[in-house]
This record gives sequence, C-alpha cells and structure tokens, in this order.
Amino acid sequence: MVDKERIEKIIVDEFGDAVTIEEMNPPQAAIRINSEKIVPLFEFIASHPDLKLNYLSTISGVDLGVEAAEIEIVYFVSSIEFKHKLTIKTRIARQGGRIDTISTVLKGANWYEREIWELFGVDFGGHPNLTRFLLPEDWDEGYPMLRDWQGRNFERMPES
Amino acid sequence: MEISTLLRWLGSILFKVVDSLGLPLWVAELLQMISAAAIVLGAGLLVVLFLVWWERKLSGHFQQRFGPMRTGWHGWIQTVVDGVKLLQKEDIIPKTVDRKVFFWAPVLCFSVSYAAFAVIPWGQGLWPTDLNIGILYILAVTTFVVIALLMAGWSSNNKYALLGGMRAAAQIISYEVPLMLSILGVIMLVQSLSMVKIVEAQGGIFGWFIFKQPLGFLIYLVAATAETNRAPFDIPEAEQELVAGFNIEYSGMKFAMFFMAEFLNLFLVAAIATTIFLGGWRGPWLPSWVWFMGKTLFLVFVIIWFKWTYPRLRVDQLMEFCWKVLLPLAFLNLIVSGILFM
Amino acid sequence: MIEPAPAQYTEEFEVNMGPQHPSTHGVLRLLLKMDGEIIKEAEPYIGYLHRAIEKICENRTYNQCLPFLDRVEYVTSMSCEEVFCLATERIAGMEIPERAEYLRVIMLEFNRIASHLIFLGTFSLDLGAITPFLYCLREREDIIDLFEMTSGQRLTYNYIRVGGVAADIPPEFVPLARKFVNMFQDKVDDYEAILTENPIFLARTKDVGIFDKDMCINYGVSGPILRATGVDWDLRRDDPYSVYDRFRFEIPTGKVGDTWDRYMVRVREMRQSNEIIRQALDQLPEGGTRAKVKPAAFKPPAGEIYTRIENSRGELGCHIIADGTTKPYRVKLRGGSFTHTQMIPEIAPGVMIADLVAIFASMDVILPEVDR
Repeated sequence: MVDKERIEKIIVDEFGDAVTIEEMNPPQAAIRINSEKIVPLFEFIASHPDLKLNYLSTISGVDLGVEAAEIEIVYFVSSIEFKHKLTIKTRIARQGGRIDTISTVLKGANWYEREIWELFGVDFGGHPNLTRFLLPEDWDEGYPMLRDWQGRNFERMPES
Repeated sequence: MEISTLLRWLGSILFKVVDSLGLPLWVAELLQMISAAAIVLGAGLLVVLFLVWWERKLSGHFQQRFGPMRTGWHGWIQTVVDGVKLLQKEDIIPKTVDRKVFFWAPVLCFSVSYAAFAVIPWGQGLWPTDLNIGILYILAVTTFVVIALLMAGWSSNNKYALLGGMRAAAQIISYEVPLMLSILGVIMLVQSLSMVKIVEAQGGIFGWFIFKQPLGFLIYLVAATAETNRAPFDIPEAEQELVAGFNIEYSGMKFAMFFMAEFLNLFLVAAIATTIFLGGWRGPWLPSWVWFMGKTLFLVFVIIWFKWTYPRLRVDQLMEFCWKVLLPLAFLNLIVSGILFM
Repeated sequence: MIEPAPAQYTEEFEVNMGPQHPSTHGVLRLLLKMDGEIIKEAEPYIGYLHRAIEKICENRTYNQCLPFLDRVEYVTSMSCEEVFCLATERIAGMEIPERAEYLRVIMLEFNRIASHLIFLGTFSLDLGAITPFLYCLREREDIIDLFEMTSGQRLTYNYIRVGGVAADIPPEFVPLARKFVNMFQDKVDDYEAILTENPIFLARTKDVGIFDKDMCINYGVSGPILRATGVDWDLRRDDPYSVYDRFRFEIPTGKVGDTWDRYMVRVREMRQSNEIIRQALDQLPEGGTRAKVKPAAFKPPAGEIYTRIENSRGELGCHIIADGTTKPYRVKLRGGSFTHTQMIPEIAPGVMIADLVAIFASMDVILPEVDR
C-alpha cells in the first residue's frame, strides 16, 4: 500500500509539467494529465515497481457542457498487488476530440473506449475496433450521452 | 394369462372364416401378417405413449417436482393430449429445405425403428416372426436410423441441423461397433442368431447371460444409450450447443415422428438387452409377457436415470470413449468368453 | 476409368450463435467462424438490451434512479442499489444507522448466494445436466421468499436506499433466515455430490478454458474468474465498504484458472457468504434503519467518486458526479460482465463449440449488465 501523496509524487516527478495533482471531493488519489501523454503515463504506472497500477476498473466519459466545450475522460486504475487506487483525469475538446488509445497497454480498455466513442463522439487514435455496439447499427442521431443531446421524445404520450 | 394363447385362438378363427368363405390359404396368411404388423404397431405406439409420460414423471420426481399433473390422474393422458396437439399443428416446411428429403427423413426414421420390432419376442410364443438371423436383422435395420438423421440434418439447410446430423452419424456408426461385439459373446454361447433361441438358452435365473457376460452387458448398456442419442451421449441434439440438432427445423407431426422413433428406439434397445442378457420372457409365476415388460421397463428406467443425472460428454471425448475404452473392452470380453466357453 | 479424387477440401463456415440461443444467457450474439467443431474466430455482438440507463439517471433524482439500477443486473439487484447508494453517501459524507448496514450485508450476501445458485444451475444446464438446475432454484426460492417478505418484490427489490434501507425486516425474517443458513451447507454438499467429482463433469471442465493470470489482470477481469486464476483479490476485504471488516470469512481462490476452478470458487463462496450471514444475524443490532434524508429534495454536495463493491460477477463500480442539485450530473456503471464479455475473442479460438458453451457459462455473464 502506497499512500496518496507518494503515488502522486512519483508521477509528478516523472512527468513534470504535464501532470497536476487533482483535488477531489471526497479526497482520493487523483491526477490530471495532458491528453497527449496518456499512453506513456499508463506504460509508466503499470510497470513502476512501487505503483504497479495495472488493473483498469473502467473509463468514464463526462461531458462538461456546451460552454466548457470539453469532455473529461476519467480512468480508474488500481493495483492488485498493493491494493491502492488512482483516478486519472484528462480533458479533450468536445467537438472532434481525439486521444490515443490505451488498449495497447491495457487490453481491457478496448470496449470502454469503444463505448465512449459511440456515446460521446471521442476519437481514440490507434484503437483496433471502433464500431457501433450498444446503439443500433444505423444510428444517426448524434452522440446521446452529450448533455445537450435531444433525442426523439419517446416518453410523450399521444394527445387524447 | 398368456396373450399368445388368445392370439393363436384369434388366428385359428381367421383361418376358419377364410376357409368357410372358400378363399385360398394365402389370403388368410396375408391377413394374419397384416394384423400381426398392426398389433405390433399398436403395441409400439402404446409403449411410446407410456414411455413419454413415464419419462416426464420420472424426471419430475428426480428433480423434486411432480411432472404432468393436470390432465387425468397424475397426468396420465398428457401424452395423448400432446399427440393431438402435434397432429393439429401447422406443418411448417422452411423455404430453403430440400423438400423430398426433408419429408422422407422422419418417415424413414420411424419406420426402421418400427421394423426392428418384427423379431422381438414379447412373451412365450408371442413374437411376430422368428427369423433365424433375428439379432442380425435388428442391427442391420436400425443402422438405417443414421441415414434418416443425416437426411434430416442435411436437408434442413441449417448449420446447426447439419452439425447435429454429422454428429449423429459419427456417433451412431462408432457405437454400433462395440454394441455388436458385446452381443457377439452371447451369440457364441448360443450358437444361434435367433432371438427365440437366445431366450430359450437361458434357463433358470442364473442361466441369464448377464451372469455369464457381465462385461458384455455393461458395454451393451453404454453403447445402447449412445445409440439412442440419449444423455450423457445426446450430443446430436445437444440443446445448449446446437439448439435442437438435426430436428431443429421440424415441427408438428414430422417432429412427432422423430420423437416417437426416439422412444421406440429406447424401448427397442431395452427389449434387446432383456432378450439377450436378462432371460427375455422367462420367469416364475407371472405370465411371460409381464416378465418381459417388467424387465424391459426396468432397463428403460435405468437409461432414463442416466439422462437425468449426468452432464453431457463433448463430441471428441465421446469418440475417444468409444474407440479407446469401449472397443478394447468389447474385444477383451469376446476373447475371454471365447476361451472360457470353448 | 476412375477419376482421381480431388484433394481434400474443407471450408470454414460461419454460425450465428444467438441472439436467440439457449446458452447465450440472454441476448448475446456470437458470430463464430468454425472449422467443423472447432472455433477459429469469435466476435461478440451486444447491445440488444441497451436501455440507456446511464442517460436516464441524469434526469432523475437520486432515489428515482434506484428502480432503474435494479434492472441493470436483475440477478443481483441488491448490489446495484448498494453501489449507487454507497457512492452517494460517500459524496454526502453521510453516516447510516448500524442496523441498516447489517441489513444491507445480509441482503447482499443472500443475493450473492441466489446469484451463484443461478450460476450453478445454468452452468450445469449448459453442460447437459438438467437436474441440478431445479435443485438450485429450489434453494433460491427460499431466498426470494425472504426478499419478498422484506421488500415486497421478488426480483427488482428497490430495498437499499440512500441513507439506509427502505424498511425494517419483518419479525419472522430472522428465524426463517436462520433456518436457511443452518440448512444451506448441507444443500451445497448435495450439489457438490452430483457435480464436483462426477467423471463426466471433470472431463468437461478440468483443463478446459484456462485463463492466464496476467491476461486476466490486463483485461480488468475481476471477481470469481480472477480468483480462480489464483489472484487473492476481493473488494470486500481489499477496498472495504459497509461493515464487512467485522466478519470473519475466507476468500477462496483457485489454482489453474480452468472452468472447474471457476465453478469451485463460486461454490466455496456460497459457503462463505452463508457464514457471513450467520455472523451478521448473530450481531444484528437494534435501532433505526434509515438516516434522515428527504427523499425528494435530497441534495448531496458537489463531488465526484468512483465506488466499487464485490458483486457476484466481480467488480461492480459506479462513478457518480454530483453537482449540488437533486439529480446526479453523471452516472457511469461498470459491471463485471461487460469486461468479461470482451475477452471472448481472446479465449475462443481453438476451442470446440461445446467447450465455448462451458467456458462462457463458467464466466457467468449476464447480458443486461453488459448493455445497461
């Protein structure tokens, strides 16, 4: 078990300016990284002898709204060996955002990224298989998880 | 009371009637043959009706439930109701099937199973015919089932059905070999292929061939379970892999034909085992046909018991078991019994 | 003159296994490229059950979300409620009454047993043994009855709420639960008698579908599948939540990571869950069952958290972002089945179709959770 400060320090020492420590409520070990450094970061934390953060829980996409015009990608990793965990955040543009895939490092990322591609419209560079799988194959109504997405209103009852 | 006495009496009446009408003798013989076939068919269908109900009840009780309960006393009429339902069903023939082969597959399957009943001795003097190659005839005729299943699998134009048909062919042909070899030991002892002669050779309870050929009996039972495509050897219709195997596209009466053939086969292999290993109709006090039915139904019960207890083997394990275990054992049995009883 | 036979020519063929197939456990479609009985390639297609639950939750208040979460994984609905409530309570910094914590543990462990019973039944069914399925459902029925008398529901309970549980247990619950707990170990012995050492069962499961430890970690595999490969990893102990630190229980692990190990880990887990329930019933304190929250106007402060619990299928996670209003800003669910399903292309090539059915059944994937 390595404590929060130590994890963050190891990563900041390695990546310098590209990484900032993220304060979260409730407090958790968390860092924010420049989206271009995401693959080197994962390679580093998965193999560092004191971190061994090689278990990816999930990747979550968060649309920060039309004004912010950014999408946050949140990675949750933990270490089976040391039983500590880390939240990694990065931001990319809302329209035409692009980030490299980490499925080359952690294969489990494949479908999480595919899901974010499908629901948020984030392009993952180098991803082996970016195809629709949750939505219908002929879906053409945009990216439904964006906050301003307006679908057909299925809930409205017919006027009586 | 022996049924054979009744039948013989009916037969003599038939001959008298034909004679008094002044018709030639072959008419009487023909009528006798037809009525014998009809009686066997009727008996076979009755047996199927009973077995379907019985399996459902047994499986229910194995699984701590009741099985059919609503139609009649403990659901005894359930199979009849199901049969009527299947008769009324629309006969669905998918567009892409090979219609002729698709049609004839269930017919062939049912008729060969039925044909094998011609030489089964149901009791003292109660057999349709006593061929001197009886057991050989049964083995030859039932092999046609493979062709029927292959026809069904191939003509359905469905990948699951095709796989099921292929599996069925591979399995039945493989298990035919140890099945025959296990019977061969008994035939060596009796020096005859006639079913009746085999029964007559087993005098007294310790004269039953199960005591002289225990290994042969076990091999026969296992191979026979595989022959009838029942669990744990039901890979041709393995529901969880092939959905329903070769009969996936069949519905209505065509499906019922396969279904009836399956249960006829089940009864048939048990009847053969009874005849060859368990002394056939022989037994004290009770009429002979009661003994025959009792022994056969007990074997059927054992085979049903297998089905509701064991998981299913994989297709390659099934083949391995046949060629690497059963077949050497069958040869061993043959050699040992040959040396012992020479 | 006889023409020479052409050289042997074989052709791969494609089989669509599912979406309607007895052993895809719901609506998974596997496109198999097969060479006879052997699978060359498998590609899973999901999404037949996608109900956009994450999107729906963005437009509902916290307590309104719970019935939807029940439907994410309907075999263990309790754990879906628990993970969402846990995340919300951690953001709000809320203490919940002791009795409610114990009731949650009892319900979660009962639900784990019920889920593993479903696994055991369908697994043996997929191997062709029909009888154990009925035995398993018989015991599950007892558990479902307990849930029904507590929450009024048999499948989607909506029992665990933010701040506690919806209602206290009725007085006859504890005696019935004790009766179940006392009898259950014998019942597991029964299941084991019919399966564990059965030679056909062993032939079908031993050394079939061996998962490599590192591959599993790389894929993010969790729960019994990961433990079957020998990794000692259980979130009840390694990322503690609720009152699990007050109970003594073992974490069963396998050795090889084959199908038999995955079966055995789950069977032993059922026994452990049973012991946890026994301890929880012994220690069950008196008191209230719900912290003071106004259900409609419940507003946690702004915050963000990813919580995870050990569900019967592995890590069940929930990422919630609260923005200080009555509705969550973002709810992201992470289920074990989703992660496990994506392993299929990796493990399927080279196995026989019957083995794929066995392996897939031993992974205990549930499709509503994959699609959400």
